[in-house]
Amino acid sequence: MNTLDFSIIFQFAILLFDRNIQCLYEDQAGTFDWRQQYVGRAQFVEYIQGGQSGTRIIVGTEQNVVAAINGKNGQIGWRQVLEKGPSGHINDLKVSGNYVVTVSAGGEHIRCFNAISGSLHWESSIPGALPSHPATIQIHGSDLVAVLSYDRIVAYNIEAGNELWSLALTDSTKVKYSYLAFSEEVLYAVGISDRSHVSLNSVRLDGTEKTSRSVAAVWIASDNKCSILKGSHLICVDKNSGILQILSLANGVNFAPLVLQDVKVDYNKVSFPNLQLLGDPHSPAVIAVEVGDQEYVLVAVENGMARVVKHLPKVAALQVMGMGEQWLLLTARRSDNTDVLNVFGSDLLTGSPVHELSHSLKYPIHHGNPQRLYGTLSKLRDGSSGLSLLTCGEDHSLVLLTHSGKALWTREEALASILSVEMVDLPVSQIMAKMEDEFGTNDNILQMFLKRFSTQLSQLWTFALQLKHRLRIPRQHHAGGSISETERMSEEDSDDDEGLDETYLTRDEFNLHKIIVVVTGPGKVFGLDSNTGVSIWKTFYPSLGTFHRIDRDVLLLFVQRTTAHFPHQPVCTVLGKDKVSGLPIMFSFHPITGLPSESAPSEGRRLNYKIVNAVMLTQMDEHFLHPIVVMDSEKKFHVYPQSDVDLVKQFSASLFVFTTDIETGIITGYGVELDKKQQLIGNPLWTVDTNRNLQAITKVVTKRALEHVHSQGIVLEDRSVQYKYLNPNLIAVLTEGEEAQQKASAFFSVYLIDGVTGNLVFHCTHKKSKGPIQLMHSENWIVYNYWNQKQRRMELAVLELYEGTRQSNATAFTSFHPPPPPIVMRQAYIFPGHISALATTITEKGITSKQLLFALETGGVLGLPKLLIDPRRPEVLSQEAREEGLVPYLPELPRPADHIINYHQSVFNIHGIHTAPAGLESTSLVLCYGLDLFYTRVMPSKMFDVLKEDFDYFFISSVLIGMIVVSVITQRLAVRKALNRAWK
Amino acid sequence: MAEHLAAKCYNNLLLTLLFIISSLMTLALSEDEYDGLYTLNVEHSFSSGEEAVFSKRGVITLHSLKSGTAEFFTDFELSDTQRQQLKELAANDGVYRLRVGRVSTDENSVNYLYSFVKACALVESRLSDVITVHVDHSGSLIGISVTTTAPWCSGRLPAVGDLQDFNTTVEVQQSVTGPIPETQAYIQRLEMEKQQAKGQQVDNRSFFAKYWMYLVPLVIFIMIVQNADQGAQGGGGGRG
Repeated sequence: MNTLDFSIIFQFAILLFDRNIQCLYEDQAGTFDWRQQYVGRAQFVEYIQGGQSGTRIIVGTEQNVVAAINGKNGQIGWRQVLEKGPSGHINDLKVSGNYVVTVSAGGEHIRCFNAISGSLHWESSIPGALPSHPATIQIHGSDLVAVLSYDRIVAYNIEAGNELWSLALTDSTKVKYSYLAFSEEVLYAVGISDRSHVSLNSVRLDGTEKTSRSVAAVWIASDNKCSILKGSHLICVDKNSGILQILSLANGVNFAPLVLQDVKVDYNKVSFPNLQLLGDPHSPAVIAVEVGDQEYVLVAVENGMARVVKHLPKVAALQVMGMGEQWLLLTARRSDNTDVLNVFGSDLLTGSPVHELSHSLKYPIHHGNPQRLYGTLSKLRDGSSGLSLLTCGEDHSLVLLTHSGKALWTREEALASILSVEMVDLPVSQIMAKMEDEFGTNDNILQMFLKRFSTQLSQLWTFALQLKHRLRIPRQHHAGGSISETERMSEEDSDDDEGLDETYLTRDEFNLHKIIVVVTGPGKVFGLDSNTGVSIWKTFYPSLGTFHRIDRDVLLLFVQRTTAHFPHQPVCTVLGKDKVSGLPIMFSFHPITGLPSESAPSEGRRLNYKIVNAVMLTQMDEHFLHPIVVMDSEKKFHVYPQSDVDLVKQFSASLFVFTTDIETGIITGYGVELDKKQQLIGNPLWTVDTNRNLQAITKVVTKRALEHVHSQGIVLEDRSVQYKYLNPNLIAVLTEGEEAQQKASAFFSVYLIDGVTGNLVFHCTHKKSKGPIQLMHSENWIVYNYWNQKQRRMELAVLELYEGTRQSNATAFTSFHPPPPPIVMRQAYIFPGHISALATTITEKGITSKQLLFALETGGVLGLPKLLIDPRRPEVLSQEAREEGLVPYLPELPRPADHIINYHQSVFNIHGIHTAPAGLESTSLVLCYGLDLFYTRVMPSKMFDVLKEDFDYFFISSVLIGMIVVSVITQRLAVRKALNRAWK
Repeated sequence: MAEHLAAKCYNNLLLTLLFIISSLMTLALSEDEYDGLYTLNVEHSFSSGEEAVFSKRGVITLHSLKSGTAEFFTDFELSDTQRQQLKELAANDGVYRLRVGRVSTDENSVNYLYSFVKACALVESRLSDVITVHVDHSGSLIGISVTTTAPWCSGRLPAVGDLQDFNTTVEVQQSVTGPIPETQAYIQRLEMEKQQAKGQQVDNRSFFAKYWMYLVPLVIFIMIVQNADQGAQGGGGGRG
């Protein structure tokens, strides 16, 4: 009863706190938050040399971003984030003078940016453009931009942006037009008709059609890869035979075949011989044909005849560049598994080596192989030419290497595609670990005394050292907002040699300092320092590919053992699939150091079956390790590490898994049994059919395993308790579909299913509403947002489940004996804005009230108290409701500017928010990830467990001391007075 | 002649009306019939695994989705071997599985939905169970759930003889409509508040009409004071 009272008071206090405004002071900005901005994987790279603003690198990326990167320091000069998804996908990017022209979504958006300021110069659109058909751009001279879309060529003036002419292409339903080239005063548009012919259209610069003809090519496929060489020759590869086919655009009647002699295309390594156009329009006509893994053939075309110039085995990337009159070939390859990248320069035509371009450069192993090179030469003081080389790595990184052998700057663009995040506690310091060690052993008293004495002595010693250190160097502030990510990277590079301070990576007083382990799309894993955002370690797993689930890529990250079990080392495991074989692959590593775990093979554990489901057991084995249980397509269960099979067998009666089949829309639940061979096998127990022909499953959301719920119910005004329905096995399934009768009318349903028994706890349907839907599932409530088609607005709905005023089982929840169907309270609100990600805060004990975090499309991250999204909000505020502290219902949710937790540090294309508890009950750690990263701490109920910064220690202690002094004096005086009175 | 024509017109009108009513009724009936025809086969199994054998237990007929009424028909009786099987299952903490399939003309395309319950719970509740049929908003079957009346497996199994026939209740649950923002109610409330506020403000009476109750005592008070002053002065004069 006492604790209940306490919680009532506590809740009241929290409610009162919630009324306060939550924001930062100006000088607090950047003290415990940081932001990092990225551009994503570069697809198009263009150099702008010299000029007032120095060398700029214009990139167009897979994440629909156009940006300029400063060549000196790698910082983003400007960045334009285009539309999300296919409608913003960049098909082509070209630079002419001070303009950057991009085409997106097959010609739906043509944009011209100022290369220096990044401002939008003009924008246009081609009617009838198909996003599925990539468009291309060619620029003629300094003013004409030609864009080839699905069925037409449109020319624009680059200065004014006005449409000069538009020419419809014939037969565009059958012929796929995808190549465009200028040759002097003629523009060629080339289209491919599958297994039939190639259409050649030549157009004069004023938009009049010159000729239109077709050349028979039975071997050609519509997905064939071709290139136009110097505006004069079309070069294609026959997919089946590997023969090069060349055609003169001006007067060619037939394709001239070129058999790549002595070169065998290794179809096991490359699915298709890739063509890579080298050099610029002034260089000799050379093309590189990728014939194998890191194997190229260089082909030159002269007078309509092609010849093989060179066969280049073992070359990761290559480039042709001009040096004075000479044309040079630059090739790069990593020397076997070292941090050294060997760059060779040779004359393109004669093949003689150029020594001043041959270097061994430092290129850390965690970048993988370089995929593309962009070299430039600069004249040095001593007259020789210095090479600077921009490399796009396998891990999406951009690195500028210089001839001195060191990287000038590095951009880790893999962080723009984070798939999984875990925040791992840092280990306690060694002394603390020794202290804790004391309680685990059974030594005799003398030994224990000695141990205690020595640890406390060493504690004192380290304290003295720290004090000395602190006095000598004033504390450095890692002001996150002011240091950009590239500076951090160079800083970190210099740190590499010194090694990090040993005490830096130990747990702090409130456990606010953590390691953020992030797994990214290209298979690179980072350990980020939560205080600064600097990566402490990074590992690249070249073979680690992603699973594809519903609409996004997935890599699973498990924390198998935390740092709490000294001397056992913590273990994290990432589960993905092999890029080549497609079979699952697992890597285990130490989350603090990034080193491969001793118990698991360092080259990864390959599993030779198809995976259906993988879960981490909540139980631990005798080494405090949580085993991972993997279910294969034949319903067999596998346990990792294998030694824990007996543990899983022991718990098999209480182990239940479910699988969702997206294709059939059927959710199946399995129990775990032992078959005749004593192997674990899945026993199908229940099914739920979501009716695939009407709707498709788009989301399956479970609760977080480590969530604590402090109060089992809410106290009503009449002092009765409304108990929460806290089913840890509850899963929320979201399905979206379209009404059969009306095509434009979409609907979606939410199903709450007990994951053990398959009982449908609740299901509801929203008509005339559609996604994209974000769904959040925590405690006893579910919150989701959707687009209301009828009212044309964003709405947010909340479902809260209650058992009622009686709790059926107070000690533990069991799905086999469930409470009666819960009361589902529900309410909806109008949400002012578009939500790209949704999350809720999580704290150590779950006492702190919850805050809901919304990543908005406009760049803000909004934090709203759960109090505002509460289905118990009354329409008319009665006395009882007022007593409970409920807020009266308003249909529209507020969006106060002071609740934007990232203040002016806008972040874009956020697709996930990860929250983790800190050691302080009041504090929750938040990482928002997407194109940008933003990390901060939030205090949903304010800092009730820490004294404020401006707490007046001096005043309080002086009052205290004063009181003590006064009481001592008065006591003396009183004694004296009593004595005097006794004498009278 | 004209009268006759009018009568004919009237007759025609009546006929059309009748036709409309009857057609409406048949429509309503057919809808009812459709609801009634929604029949599900219920089968059960006492063994586990993929190759478990399911045997027929009964038929669920859904009468109306809106009112959620359904009935369970069965002519099935538990055989002695099945009774024994169930008992063994309960003793081994096994599961009793149930599946329903929609009765359709095409036998091959029957899509079964499965559910289960701990055998011990079924035995301890003496074969009383509740089957809940979940139906989505368009009326198609999503899933079933089975619960027993006994809340716990206490471990005290009743004798085999006590297990007579199944006592099955069927419930239907259709997807409810999700919440929507209650703008209408909010606007109504606002308007009501506005009107209330208006009702208080509108008071077009004159100044005197409104405040006579304050003015009259004031006037009387002033008059009394004046009278008293005069009286006092008079008294004073008397003394002097």
